Amino acid sequence: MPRFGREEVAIGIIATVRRQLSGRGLALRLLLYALVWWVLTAGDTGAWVWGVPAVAGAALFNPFPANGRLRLAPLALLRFAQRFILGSLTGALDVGLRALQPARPLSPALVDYPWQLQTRSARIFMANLINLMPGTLCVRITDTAMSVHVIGDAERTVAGLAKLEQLVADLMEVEDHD
Amino acid sequence: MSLTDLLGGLLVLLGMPFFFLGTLGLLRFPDAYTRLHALAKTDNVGLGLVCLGLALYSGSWLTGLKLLLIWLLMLVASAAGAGLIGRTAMARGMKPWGL
Repeated sequence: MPRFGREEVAIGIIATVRRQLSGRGLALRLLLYALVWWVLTAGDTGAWVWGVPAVAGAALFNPFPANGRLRLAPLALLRFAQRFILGSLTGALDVGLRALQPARPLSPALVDYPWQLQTRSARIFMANLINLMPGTLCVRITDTAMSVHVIGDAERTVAGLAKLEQLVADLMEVEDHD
Repeated sequence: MSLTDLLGGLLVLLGMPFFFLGTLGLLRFPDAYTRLHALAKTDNVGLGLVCLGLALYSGSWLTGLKLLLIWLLMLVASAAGAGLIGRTAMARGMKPWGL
């Protein structure tokens, strides 16, 4: 991790805020965060005293500027949600049964999984996602691959990852034009 | 007691064993990596079922939306937390058990 001086941090924050102010996503972020606040406070009007600064702050200091256009793909989202729910259930049952058996059957392996995804945000999403999917845990991220800690059948797991990665690509990555 | 109340209660009850299984894995599994497996996966499903059950039980769509949001935020925290611990352990040279 690089270390920054106080001035550099201040300059960085100002630059971020400037970029966010001019960014096209600002209105959308404000709306989205306001909606989140409204839901979390269950519509309590008094809570907006804190809500307005919190929403504005979150929208302006967003440290992860999007580097791709957000695509609205309802079908891809639906297919992804289905896979996610199914994967969650099988993953939890799988690891739960392993914990329950007296012999505690685990066959750990480390697998390097080369990226097919191109954008940074999609890769980060995928790396976090697999921590919730059956038998996988991301333990290293590099520019070319991620290392995955696997419990269980490594080959089957990798095949599952490839399918999952395709779903993430459909969801988040627009065809590259450059 | 209405049918949604019953279904809601059932889903909450169904979610609870997952927390038990996750904790069992945390206690029984041999190293940090395998323990992370146990916790991240089971908490996801456990809380999902509990939230879904409570949402049905509450009978209010705004409360339901709030519970859904709580589940989603917890998923992000759980996935990111497991990843951070796992990657830090690997970066510091902690060898996975059985390898």
